[in-house]
Amino acid sequence: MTSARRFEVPWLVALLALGLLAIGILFVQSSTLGTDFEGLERRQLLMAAAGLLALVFFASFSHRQLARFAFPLYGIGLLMLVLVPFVGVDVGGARRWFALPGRVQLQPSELMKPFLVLALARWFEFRGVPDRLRDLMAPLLLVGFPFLLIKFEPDLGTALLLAPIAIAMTWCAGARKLHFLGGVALAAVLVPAIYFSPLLKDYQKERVTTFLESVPDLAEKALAARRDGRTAAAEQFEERLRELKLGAGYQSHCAQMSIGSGGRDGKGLGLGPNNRLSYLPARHTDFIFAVIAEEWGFVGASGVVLLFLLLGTAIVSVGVGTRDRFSQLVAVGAAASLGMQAFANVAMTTGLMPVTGIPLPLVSQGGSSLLSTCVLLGCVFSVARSRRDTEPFLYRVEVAVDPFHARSVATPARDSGVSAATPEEPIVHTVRR
Amino acid sequence: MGGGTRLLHVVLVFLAVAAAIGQRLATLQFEQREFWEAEAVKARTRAETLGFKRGAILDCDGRPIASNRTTRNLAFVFGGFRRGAACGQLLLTHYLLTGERCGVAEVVAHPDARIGELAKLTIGELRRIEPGQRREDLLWYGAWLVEDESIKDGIERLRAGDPAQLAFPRIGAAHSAIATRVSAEAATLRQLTRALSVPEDELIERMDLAIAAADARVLRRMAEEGPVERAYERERALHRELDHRDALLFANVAHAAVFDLAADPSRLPGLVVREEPRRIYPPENDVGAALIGRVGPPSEATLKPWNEKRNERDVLALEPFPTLEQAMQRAELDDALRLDVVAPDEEVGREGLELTFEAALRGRRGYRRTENDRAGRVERELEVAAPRPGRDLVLTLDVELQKAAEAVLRRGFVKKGETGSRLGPAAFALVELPSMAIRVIASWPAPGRAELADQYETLANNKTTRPLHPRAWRPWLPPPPGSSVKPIVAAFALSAGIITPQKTLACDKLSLRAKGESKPVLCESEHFQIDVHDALVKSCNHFFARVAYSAGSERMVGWLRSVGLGQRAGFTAARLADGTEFPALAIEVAGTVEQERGGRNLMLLGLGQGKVDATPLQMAAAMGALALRSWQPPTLIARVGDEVPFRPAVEPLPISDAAWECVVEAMRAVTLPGGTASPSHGADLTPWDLATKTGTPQQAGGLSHSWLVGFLPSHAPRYAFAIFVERTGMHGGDAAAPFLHALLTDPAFAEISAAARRSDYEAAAARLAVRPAGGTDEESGDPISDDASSVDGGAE
Repeated sequence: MTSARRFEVPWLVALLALGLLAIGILFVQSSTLGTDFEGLERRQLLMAAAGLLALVFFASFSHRQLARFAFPLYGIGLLMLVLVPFVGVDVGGARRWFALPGRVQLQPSELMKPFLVLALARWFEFRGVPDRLRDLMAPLLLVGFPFLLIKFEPDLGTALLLAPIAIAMTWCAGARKLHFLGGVALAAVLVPAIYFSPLLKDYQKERVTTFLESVPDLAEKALAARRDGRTAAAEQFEERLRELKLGAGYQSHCAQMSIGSGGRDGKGLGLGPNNRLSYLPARHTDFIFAVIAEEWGFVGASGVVLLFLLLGTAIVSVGVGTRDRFSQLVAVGAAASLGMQAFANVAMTTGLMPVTGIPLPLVSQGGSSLLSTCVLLGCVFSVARSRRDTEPFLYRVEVAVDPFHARSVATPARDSGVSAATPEEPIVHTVRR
Repeated sequence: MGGGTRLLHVVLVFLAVAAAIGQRLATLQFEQREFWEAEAVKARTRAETLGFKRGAILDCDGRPIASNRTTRNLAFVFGGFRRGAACGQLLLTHYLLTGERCGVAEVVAHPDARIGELAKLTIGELRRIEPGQRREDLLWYGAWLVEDESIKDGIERLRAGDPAQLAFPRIGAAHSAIATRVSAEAATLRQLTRALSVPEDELIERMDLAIAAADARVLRRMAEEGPVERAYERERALHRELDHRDALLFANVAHAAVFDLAADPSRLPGLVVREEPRRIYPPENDVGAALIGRVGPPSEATLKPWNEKRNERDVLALEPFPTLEQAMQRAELDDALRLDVVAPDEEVGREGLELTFEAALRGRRGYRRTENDRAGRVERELEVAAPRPGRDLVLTLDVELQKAAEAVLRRGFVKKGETGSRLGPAAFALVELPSMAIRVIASWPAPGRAELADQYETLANNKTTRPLHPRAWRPWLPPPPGSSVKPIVAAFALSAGIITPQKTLACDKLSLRAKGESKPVLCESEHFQIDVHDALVKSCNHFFARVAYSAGSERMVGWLRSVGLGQRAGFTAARLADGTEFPALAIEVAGTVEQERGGRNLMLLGLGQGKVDATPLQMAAAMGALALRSWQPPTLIARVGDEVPFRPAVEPLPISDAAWECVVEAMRAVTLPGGTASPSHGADLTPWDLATKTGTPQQAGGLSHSWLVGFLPSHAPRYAFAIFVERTGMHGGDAAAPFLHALLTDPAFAEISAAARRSDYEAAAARLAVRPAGGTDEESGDPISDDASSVDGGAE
């Protein structure tokens, strides 16, 4: 590998990530101005610098090196998660962090996301197409261990985010549709069962019920009941409205209030009253999107969503451009992790899903999240170089080895007479059965 | 399916999610924008009503009869106490742990025990606390106890956290800090107890009672609502809804006692000093309680507009997307509720002038709309409308004179030859001339404000003296004026030519009968042929019966009505330049003057008996009219705010100079030897230049009343008055004249007395100048007979 190749970067991904990072710093400043957290954007800048170093560090490895380190890194991540309950520190009532020198705290569950992506990619690369149900057991365990450890930190939101990563990677690794449909059916049974089981705490159930209700709809029902003279019903609706606004639905209500009042053009940077007057909880972290929507309006908010969409697509396209199964799966996992986390955060903020404590990647204040995202991007940068190291993707699909559907390909790459691998990065993707 | 396709699926999923988010954003930021904007404005703005200062009621010299004072009440807010005070937090943690309330006293006395039970709480025990909401509340209180700022930062973090890892492990470490907070709050409580000069523990006991009341309130509501599935959550919601209300601990506390707490409420959250303007009636000027009235909480009827508008506003407030018209309507309703309509927490006039002049005395509330941050700190003022104070009501009443008059009436009168004073219901009205301004309108019995408040039922049930009926303007039954109307009848009759000063009419004491009637009109003495002067001085009934008979019913009634008899004095009515009209006191008694077709009743009208009765105020006004020879209703209202109310035009009375001179000359003689109020009767009034007339009307089934009416000085009238003493069974000169003497010799009346006082020489001359009297000098109700024909055949 030449030095020029070594530092070659997917510019679109880099630019989109930098853009989101800049927006994040801008809004961290806007949302902490005049509060006890004022100046947090400087800390975020430092974190961004550290994140860039991590990105460069991971990008400097070749994708094969990454593949080799995948399981050890996963092991380290798992070890950290195991250690958290014993040596972690309490912050805000939860023990999810390691205290590092210089008042820095590290959240292992965040780092687990890129490590899981690498581990799953490595597993699917090693195992080939998971076309039997038992082939899915190992990925399930790979996801299940960190899921449970994170769930009991407790951090259900982060734990749940491991699921889309695994689903996307398993799907792209070639899992059978039947298995997916089965999974969907199982989920359809399990979700209500979990809801009514003691696994979900009361407040978590309350969040689900409040999410299912809409403040404007309830207000309308209360009004209709008043108009019709159904006082008892009206009072019930009004009581529920109060509960939604001030009780369990408080955060969601505040976020939607901020977003809705932003209108088309927003109130202007630093001028959002709900942000300025602290009506938004956790506004520099989990609810930063509501600040963006309030101050930049629909234009800015949808712009940020578009940036995430483009970033996700760009990362996927990095995967498309590679020949290497591991690289492609890393790209898919990274895109799923970043994209789904971003969309989950925005969906939570806009009331499309129940509130969970998920930060908006690259934008929300928080070192661990930023570091984790940068590590993921570093991996993407690393695998992006495999495009040059391997053959064109289309050719390869056409000729021999479909890394995602090896079974459906009639002629294995080796038999096709077309080399599917470069001398230094051989790909061994054959149909084993 | 190729790998590229599956990668494309991922992108498609992204696209679908992004599209859903975009659609959601569009809904929130376009379709529902106004709703959320309104919600946001509602959340961050607070509207605070600013109370107005009620107008004062002042006497003619600006002395306050009713005014306002800022009072301070010490109140307890349970919600604030349990949220902010360490004592309250420990009280709640104990409740959440055990389900039983402990008293504030117990927490203050043994804080270590309460802290200890939290510090010893194991994770297992904590997990067993059900329901989850109760556990979560316990965690919050634990967090507040250790003052964990990171926890306060957001409920989300708390909820996401493992309860076991929250504050409780740190409570042990923070034990001494919590105990210090509790002891600081206990010190504040002790200091307040000392400053309030209440028994030890009184304050804490009242706080405990307030907490018990808060619990009872919640339980009552829950009982009303019936069984619910999640009882704790409902109880919690009700506490949150109801516990922000003030529970009054001590009313009207000294400023010095609560100064520290008012300056720094954080010394003990939950204990608050509420300042509010209160209506006060300065005891030194507390006169005419029944007339001045009182303020009180608004009645149901008064609150009706407020309730209606609030309901209307509440319905509009629920409209998620109001039209412009609805928004404007809501703004109007908000303004009305904020500023104009009587609100439940207001004090309004309930009786007397406080009620009649409510529209003037009541100001307009102001309000302040502020933008607040989440902690409630005011970020900026958005809108301020200063309250408009009510207008002061300046009365013509002179508090000093009124007090003196009430004191004189209260002391009663001493009958000549007796040593002890006789007490009985009495009244005195004094009208200044020519303005017809009422300076005194005193009655006895006249219960004071405290008496009215404490013994209202007793007073209302007292059928003997009927103390709730001020005799001066609201007697239970208006008395007939009796002979006190004779000067009026004489003046009109002389002016109308029905009689002349020289004309004499026959009085044979017994035989005056109207045509066709057998029952005679009686006179106490046989005056033979008597002229108008003597008829007035000696109060001859037959003379005036004949005059009335000759004048006829219509003229008689017209004369009496022209000086205000038979109609309300309307002394509190006022009309301002802007058209505002304040009605007369609805409870004022009018008295009656009814037409008689003829006969004996018409004759009696000439004597002030029969179908005529009047209040002392009416008689004083009538005397004023006679003195001025013009009629204008008396008034009690000098100014409303800066405005002098319009007065009805002065109506000249058809009384000639000669008639007036003749009548006044006779009235002057009433207090001189030979008159019905001569010194030989109750009191020596000769030192004053008075024009008076006594009256002793019969009251059916009881003793006769006593009147003394007139004006002074007689040569240049400045004041008209009427004194009425109820059911004395004595002549006006015997029972009423002593009151006038007592008043004129009272230091408060020195100025009035001086204005009418004769020099010693003049007084002696007046006593000597009097014409010799013949017979008795007072009329009698005893029946005497006469022939009606003799009325027509009266000799000149």
